[in-house]
Amino acid sequence: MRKTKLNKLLKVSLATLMSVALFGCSTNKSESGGDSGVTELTFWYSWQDKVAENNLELTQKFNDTIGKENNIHITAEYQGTYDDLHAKLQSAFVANEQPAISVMEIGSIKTFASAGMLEPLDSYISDEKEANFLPGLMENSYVDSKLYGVPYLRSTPIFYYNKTLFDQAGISEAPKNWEELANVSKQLESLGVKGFGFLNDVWHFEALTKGNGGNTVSADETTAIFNQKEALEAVNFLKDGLANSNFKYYSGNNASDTLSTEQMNQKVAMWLGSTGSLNNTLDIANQNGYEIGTAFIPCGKAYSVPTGGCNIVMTSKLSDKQKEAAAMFINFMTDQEQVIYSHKKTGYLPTTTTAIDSDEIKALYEETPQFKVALDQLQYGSGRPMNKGYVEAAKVYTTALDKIFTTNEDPKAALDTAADSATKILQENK
Amino acid sequence: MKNELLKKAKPYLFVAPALIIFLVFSIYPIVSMIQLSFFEWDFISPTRLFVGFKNYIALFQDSAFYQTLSNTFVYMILTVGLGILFGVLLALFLNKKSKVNSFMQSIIFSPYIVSLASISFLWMWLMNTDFGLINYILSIFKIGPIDWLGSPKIALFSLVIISVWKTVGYNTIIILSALQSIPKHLYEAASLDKANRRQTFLKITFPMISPTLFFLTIVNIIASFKVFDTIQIITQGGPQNSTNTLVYSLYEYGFKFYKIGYASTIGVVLLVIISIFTIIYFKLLSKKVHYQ
Repeated sequence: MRKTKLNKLLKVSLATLMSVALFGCSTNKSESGGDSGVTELTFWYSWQDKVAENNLELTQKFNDTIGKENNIHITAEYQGTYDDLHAKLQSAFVANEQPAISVMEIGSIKTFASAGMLEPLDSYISDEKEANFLPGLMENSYVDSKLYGVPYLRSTPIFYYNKTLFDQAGISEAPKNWEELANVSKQLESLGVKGFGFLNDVWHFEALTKGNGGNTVSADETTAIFNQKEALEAVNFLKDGLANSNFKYYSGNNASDTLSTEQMNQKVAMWLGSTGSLNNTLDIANQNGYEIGTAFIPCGKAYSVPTGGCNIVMTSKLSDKQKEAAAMFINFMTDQEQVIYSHKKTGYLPTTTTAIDSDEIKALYEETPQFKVALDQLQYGSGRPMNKGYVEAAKVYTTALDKIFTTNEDPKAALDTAADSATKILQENK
Repeated sequence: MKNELLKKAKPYLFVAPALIIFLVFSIYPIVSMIQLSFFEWDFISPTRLFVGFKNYIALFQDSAFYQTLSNTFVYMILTVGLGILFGVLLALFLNKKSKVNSFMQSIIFSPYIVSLASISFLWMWLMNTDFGLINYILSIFKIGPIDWLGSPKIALFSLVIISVWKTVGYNTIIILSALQSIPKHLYEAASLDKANRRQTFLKITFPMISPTLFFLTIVNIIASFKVFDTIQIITQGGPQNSTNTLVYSLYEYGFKFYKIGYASTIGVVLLVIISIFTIIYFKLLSKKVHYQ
C-alpha cells in the first residue's frame, strides 16, 4: 500500500526530471490587426524609473497623435536590462513572437542584423534626418553599410561627484586626470567617506582604458588587448587606489544597488555612471539634501570614452503595412521634440544637431549645467565593439578583473590568461 | 471486429492526452537538445553548422566547465545533506501533537510556498555586506562584516543557506507525517525489551522513515541540480564564476553568448548525470530501504 504510493510519487518526480530539459520562454503577443483595421504593434524597451516613464509617455503621445490619425496602436513592454531584452528577443524570434520595434544595446546590433532579424531602415529614414544625428553616435548603426539602428537613448559614461562632500573637504574642482582623482579621493578620507567607488562594469573599464590610449579589443575586433600596457596601467591604477587612495570596489551582482545606496547615504563621493541616469541621480540628491556635480571621466593620457545606450530597431518578418507603421513610430521617437523630451527626462544625450541648437536645450544647460557634460564629452566618444563573441569575452575580462581587485592575484598574469581565452572567443565569431 | 479494435484502442485513447503532453514537452525537447549539441548555431541565424563532437571536445577541455560541475555537486551535496538533516531534527523536535507545534510547523513550512524570486530579493537585502540585517546583527557581536554574496569563497554557501531555509519546511512536514504513521505497538514492544532511546531510533524510527528519506533525497537532488532562479537573481553565476552551475551556464551560453549548440551539450551532460543518479538510486538504495 505504502509502496504504490511511493511509486506514484517517484513517477511524478521522474516526470519532473524529464522537464529539466525543458527550457522555454513563452510570450503571448499577437501582431495581427483587429477587425477595426487598427495596426497593433509591440515595442520593447529596457530599464525602469525615468527611462520607463519616458518610453511609456512617448508611446502614449504617439498613440494619441500620429497613431490615432493613421490607425496605429503601439504597446510598449518592459523587458528588463539590455541583456534580458536581447535574450528574450532571441527566443521570441525562434517562436515567431517578436515585437515589431525594439530598443537594442548598440554593441549587439551586428549580431542581430547579420542573423537577418532586423530590417534595414535606409528607405524609411530620410537622408536629411540621417545626416542630422551627431556623427559620434552613428558608428554602431551600420552593418555592411546598411542602416539598422537609429540613435535613441544614447549615452556616454560620465564622472559623478557629490559636490556637498567636495565643499566640506575644501575641494573646488572635479579631478581631470588619474593623479588628481587619487589625490582628491585621499583628501575625502578625512570626512570618513570613500573617495572613488567603482563597479565591475566592462563599459567603465572600456572608458578608463580608452582614456589611457588603450582599448579592450583590437580595431578589427579579433584580438583581446586588455592585457596590453595601457589597459594594464588602468587596472594597476585602480588596484593601487584601493590600497592607498581611499578607493572602494563594489563586487557581486547587486553591487550597483549597493553603490546607489551608498551614494544616497553620502558614503561615497565619486563614481562613474551612464548619463542616462543623470536626472534620476539629481532627483535623489535633491530629496536627500546634497548636490551632484558631473564632469568628464578623469583620464590617464587624453580624454576618450565609449558611447553606449540603445538604438531603436525594426524587426524583419513584418508585412509592408506593419513596416510602414513601425517606421512612423521610429521616426516619431527620434524627432526633435521627442529627442529634447527624452534628454530632459532622463539625461540621455540629445542625439541631433538641430536639437542641441534649439533654445529649449540652451535654456536647460543654462539652468542645469550637469546635463551638458555628456554632450561635451561626446567629441571624444567612439563606438563599442560589435563582435558577436564580445559579450562572452567581456565576461572573461571582468571575471579576471574581479579576481584582481578582490585577491592578491597578479594583474598582468590574470589578464594575460584572460586575454588568451577572450581572443579565442573573438576569433570564433569573426 | 470493429468493437474489438475499439476495445484494444481504448486504453491508449485514455492515456493519449497525458502521452501527447509528455511527448511534446518532455521527449521532443530532449531529442531536439541532443540533436542541437552536434551543431554550431546562434539560435537565430537561418543556417546551422554540423560540427560533430566538437562541442563535446571543447566542453571537456574547458576548465570553467569543471568549476561549474564542482559547484553543482558541492551545492547539491550541501543542500540535500543539510536540508534532510535539519528536516529530521526539526521533525523529531515537533513530533508531539500540541497547538504550539502545529503553529511552529506552519511557520517552518511558510518559506516553501513563497516564490523564489521574492525570497531571492529578501535574502539579497539580508545578506548585503554594507547594510544587510545579518551583518548588522553579527556586528553587535563584533563579527564581520562578511561579504556573503561578493566573496567567491562564500557566495556558494550563502546560496546553500537560502535553499536549505526554503526547503527544510517541506522536508520537515513530510518526515513528520512519516514519523506519525509509525505504529505505536513497535515502540511499546521496544520499551518492553528495555531498548534505550538510541536503539529505538536506529532500529525502529530510522528504518520506518527511510522510504520517506529516500524519496526526499531524490526530489531534493533533482531540485538542487535545477537551481536557477536564485542564481539568476542574486549572483548571476558570480563572483568569478563561483556560483555558476550547470543549468545557469547552460542559460548563459544559450541565451547570452549565442551558442545554443554548446549550451545543449551542457544540457546533455546534465541529463546523463541526473539519469545516472536515478539509476543508482533505483538499483542500489531501493533494496536497502525498509518497506512496510
